[in-house]
Amino acid sequence: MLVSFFEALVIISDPTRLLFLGGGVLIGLVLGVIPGLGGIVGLALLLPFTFDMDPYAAFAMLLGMGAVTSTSDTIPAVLFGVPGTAGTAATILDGYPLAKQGQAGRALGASYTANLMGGLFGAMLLAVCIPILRPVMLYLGSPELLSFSIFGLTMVAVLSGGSPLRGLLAASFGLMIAMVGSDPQTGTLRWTLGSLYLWDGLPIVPVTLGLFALPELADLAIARRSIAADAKFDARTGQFQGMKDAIHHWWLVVRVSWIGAALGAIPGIGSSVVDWIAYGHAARTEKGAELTFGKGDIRGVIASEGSNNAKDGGALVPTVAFGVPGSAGMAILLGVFLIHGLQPGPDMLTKNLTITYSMVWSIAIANILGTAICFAFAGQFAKLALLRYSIIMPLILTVVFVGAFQGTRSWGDLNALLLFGCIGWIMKRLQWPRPPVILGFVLGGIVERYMYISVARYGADWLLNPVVVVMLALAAWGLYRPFAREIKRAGGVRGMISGFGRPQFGPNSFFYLSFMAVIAWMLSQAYGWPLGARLAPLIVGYFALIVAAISLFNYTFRPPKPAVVEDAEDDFSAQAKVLQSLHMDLVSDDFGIDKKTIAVRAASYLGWILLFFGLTGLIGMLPAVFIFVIAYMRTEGNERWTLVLPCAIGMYLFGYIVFDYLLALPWPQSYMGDWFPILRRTVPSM
Amino acid sequence: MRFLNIIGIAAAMTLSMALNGASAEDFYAGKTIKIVTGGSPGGGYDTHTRTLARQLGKHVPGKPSIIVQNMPGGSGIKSINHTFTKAGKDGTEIGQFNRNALFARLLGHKTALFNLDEFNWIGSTASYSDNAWVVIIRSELPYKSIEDLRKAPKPVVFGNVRSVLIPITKEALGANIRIIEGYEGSQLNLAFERGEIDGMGTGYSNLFREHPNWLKDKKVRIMVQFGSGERIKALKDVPTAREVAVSQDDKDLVEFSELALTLGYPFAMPPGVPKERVEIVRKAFIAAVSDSAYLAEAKKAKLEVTPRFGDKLEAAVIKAAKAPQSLIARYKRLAGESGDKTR
Repeated sequence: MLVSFFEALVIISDPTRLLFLGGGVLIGLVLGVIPGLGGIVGLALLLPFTFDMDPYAAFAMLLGMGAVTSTSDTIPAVLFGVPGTAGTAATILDGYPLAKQGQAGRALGASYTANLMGGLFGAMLLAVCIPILRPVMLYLGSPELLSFSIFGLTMVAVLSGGSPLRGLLAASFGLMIAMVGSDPQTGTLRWTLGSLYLWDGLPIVPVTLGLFALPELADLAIARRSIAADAKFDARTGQFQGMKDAIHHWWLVVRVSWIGAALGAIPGIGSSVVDWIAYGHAARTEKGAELTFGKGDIRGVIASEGSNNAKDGGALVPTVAFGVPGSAGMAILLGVFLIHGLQPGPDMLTKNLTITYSMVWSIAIANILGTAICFAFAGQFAKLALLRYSIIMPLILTVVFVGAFQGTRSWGDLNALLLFGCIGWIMKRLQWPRPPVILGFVLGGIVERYMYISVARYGADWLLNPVVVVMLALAAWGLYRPFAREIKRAGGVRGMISGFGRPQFGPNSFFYLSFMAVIAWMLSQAYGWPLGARLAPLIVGYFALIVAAISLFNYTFRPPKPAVVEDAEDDFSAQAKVLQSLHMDLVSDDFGIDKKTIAVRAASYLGWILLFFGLTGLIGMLPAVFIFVIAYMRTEGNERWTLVLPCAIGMYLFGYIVFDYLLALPWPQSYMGDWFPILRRTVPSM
Repeated sequence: MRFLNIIGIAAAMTLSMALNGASAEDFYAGKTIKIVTGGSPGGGYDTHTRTLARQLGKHVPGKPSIIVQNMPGGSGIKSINHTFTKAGKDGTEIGQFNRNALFARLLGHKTALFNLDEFNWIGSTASYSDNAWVVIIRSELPYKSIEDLRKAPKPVVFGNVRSVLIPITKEALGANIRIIEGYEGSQLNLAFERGEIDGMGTGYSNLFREHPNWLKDKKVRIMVQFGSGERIKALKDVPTAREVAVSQDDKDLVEFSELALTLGYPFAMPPGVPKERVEIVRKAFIAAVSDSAYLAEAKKAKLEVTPRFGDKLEAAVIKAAKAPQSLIARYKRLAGESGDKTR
C-alpha cells in the first residue's frame, strides 16, 4: 500500500501532469470567485479535453479544478457578503463583519490557511481510510444515512443562537420550501403553482444568494459607505495574522475537516450544508463562541472554510469505491473513469490503487497551489473593501444577478432571488436567524427521502439499529440543550407561564402572521395529495404553526424578550446586550440613520433591482448590465465618466467572455430578441 | 405578439437571405448552430449531445461552429417547450429532448406546450436496438424466471428510481414484488449491493459498464428485458417483456412503454424551419454519426451507436401519440405510482 502511495506521488510529479493540474487550479479559482459558477460547470467544460490524456493527468486536472473552487469562493464571501459558491455561505457570518472592521486580509489569510489544512486533512483521511472504505460504506444503509441527516438538522438549535423558537420556525420554513416540486415517492407536484420552474424544486443558488447576498448589499446601499469605512487597514500583516490564527486553532481545523470529509462521503449531502454543520459544531464546542460568533470571530471563518475543502476527499469515497457519486461534480468524474476504462469498485482499491492515490495527491497538491495563488493576490482583493459603495454596488449586484440566473437558467431564478432577498432582508432586520433556513432547505429533501425509504423497507425496525440509536440520541441532546437554557433563563416553567406584560405589536407581529398565513395555505394545498406526498409536509407544517403561535404569543405578551431589540435605546440595557449577542447571524448596522431614510433607501434599492429585471426582460441581460452599471454609478455616486465607462464596458466584456463565449450558457430571452430575431443573433444575450 | 413575431421573422429572413445570397448551402457559413439539451452537464443526454456536436459542424456545408447549451428543468419539459416556442426558426437551433418528457402532453400535462408532429425530427443517436432495459434480482434468490416470480410466496423487495417499467413488471407481468420508491440515481446500485433491496431495473449497457463484476461473478440474474421487442444479442436466453406478458392489454402496455426507450436521444429542429435547412442538418446528422471520429469517441465513452434518422424517428413519435385512451390512462396510473410525472 505504501508503495502505491509513493509511486502515485512520483507519477503525479511528472511535469506535464503538474502542468495540467496547474491549469485546472487556475480555472477552478476563477470559477469559485464568480457566484453561480462552480466546479460542475468547469468539469463539463473541461471533460472533452481529458479524453486523450492519460488517466492520471485527466484526474489531476479535473480534481485540481474542483478542489480549489472552495478556496477562492471565500473571496466574495468575506469582502462583500456574497457567497462565491453555495458551500461558503457560513463564512459570511464572521468573514464579512471582519472585512467591515478592516480585517479582510486577516479573514482571507485565515480562510486560505484553513482551506489548505482542511484540504490536506481531508485527503489524508481518504488515504488512510482506503482499506476500510468498502465495508464501512456497505454497512451504512438508508436508516443510518437518515440518522446522520437528522443529526445535521439539529444543528439548527445552535445556529439559532438566543432565539431557538425563531430558529425552529426558520428551519421549518426551509424544510417546507425543500419539499416544493415533484415529490420523489408519488410524483405529486407539490406547491408548484402551475409553473414548470418549480417542478424540480427550488435551486440552491438563487436561494442562498437571495438570503445572504442581497440583504448585505441592501444594507450597504442603505449605509452608503464603503464596506470597511473608517477602518485602519493593512492587508499584508492582516494576512499573516490570519495564517497564524488558523494554525493556532489547528485542532478546530482537524475536527471540521473530518466533519467535512465524512459528510462529503454521504451521497446527497452536498457542499451547501457541510460549512453550516462545521460552523454549528464550532459554535457549540469553542469557548465563548456564543458571544462572539456572527460578529467577526476568526474561528467562525476557520470552521466553515476548513470543512469545505475537506469534502472533496470525502466525496471521492463512494465514487471510487462503488461508482456512486458523492456529489454532482463526482457524477461527471464518474464519466471520466469509464472513458479511461477504469471500473469504480473493488479494483480501484486493489489493482488500480496507484490511480486512487494519485487522486489523493492531486487534491492535496491542488490545495497547496490554490492557496499559494490566493495568498499572492489577497492583498489586492482586500483593498476592494475600501471602495465607495457607488462603485462596488453595481458591479457586485450585476454579478449576483447573472450568478443567480445560473441556478436553472430561467426567469424563475431571478424571481426566486428577489423573493428570498426580501425574506432574507426582513429576517436580518427583525433578527430572525437565517442559517436554519438553509440547513432545513438542504437537508429537508434528504431527510424525507431516506425517511420514506427506511419506513417503506423496514417498518419501525430501523429505529433499533445501533448507529441510528446513537445518532438520534445525540440529536435529541443537541436539541434539548438550548431549550433547557432558555427555560432556565426564563426562570423555569413557572417563570415562563407568568410575567406577561402589556401586548406589543410591531413589524415582527406582521412577519409572524404572514409566515403563519403562508404555512396555512401550504397545508390547505397538501390535503389533496396522496399519503406519501402529504405526510412530511403536514407534520412539518403543523409543527411550524404551533411553534409560530407560541413564539408570537411570547413576543406579544412578553415585551423585554431576547432578539426583540429593535430600537437603539434598548441596546443600553445590559441584559438586552447579552441576549442580543447570542444572535448567531449578522445584524444590521444603521450608523444612526433614521427609520424613514432607511425605508426610502431600501425602496430605491428595490427599485434598482426591478429596473435591472425590467431591462433584462426588454433588451437582454448583457445590455442590461451595461446600462445598469452606468445608471447606478451616475445617479447614486455621480461618478465621473472616465470611471463609469471602463467599469460598464469591463462588466459587459466579462459577462460576454465568461458566460457567453467560453461557457456558452443560455441567457433569459428578451422581448426585443423575440420581436426582432436578427437582434438576438447579433447582440449577445438578447 | 404573434403578429410581431411573424413580422420579425419575415424581416430577419429577408435580411439574412439578402446578406447570404439566399442559398441554403451558404446559409451556415460563418454561423453558429446551437444545440439545446434538456440534460444536465455530464449526464447521458449531455454526453450524447456533446459527442455529436463535436462532429456535426464539419458535415454541414459552410462548416458552422456548434455550441451546446444545457437547459434542464421541469423533468425535461422545459427544453422541449423552449425549442417549440422560443427557439430561433432560421435553422441555427436544434433541440435535444428527454425522451420521457416527450410524452408529457400526451399524458395530459398542461405545462407541456408542444405538438410532437410539428417538430422537424433530425434523428436519434441510439435506439435501444443493441441495448435493453433489464429487470435483475440477486442471484441467491430461488427465482429463475418471471413465472417463478409470479409464484413467489413472499414479495421480492425492489428499489426504483422513478421508472414506470418496474410497476409494469409488477402489474402487467404479474411479478410478486414490493416496490420501494424514492431512490436517487446510482444510489440504487449501492442499495442493491448492500442488500437493502433484492431487485431493480437498469439499462443493460449501464450494468455492463458500471458493474461488470455483477455479471461476471453471477451476482445478479436477469429476469426479463424491455427494448425493441427482440432479444438482444448479448441476452439470447432472457425473455422479452412482450413474450411474458399474458393478455393483449398487457402486451400493448409493454409495447407502449418500450416506445419511449427506443426514442433514445432524440434531436429535432423547431417547427417552421425552412425545409432545405432541415434537410441539410438531417444529412449532416447521418454523416456525423457514421464518421469514424464519432465512432471512436462513442466507443471510448461506451455510448450506444444505433442511430435512427428523421422519418423513422418521426414515425415512432407519431405512433406513440396515437395510442388508445384506455392504454394511456393505465400507463398514466402506473407512471403516477412510480413517481414520474412526465412519462
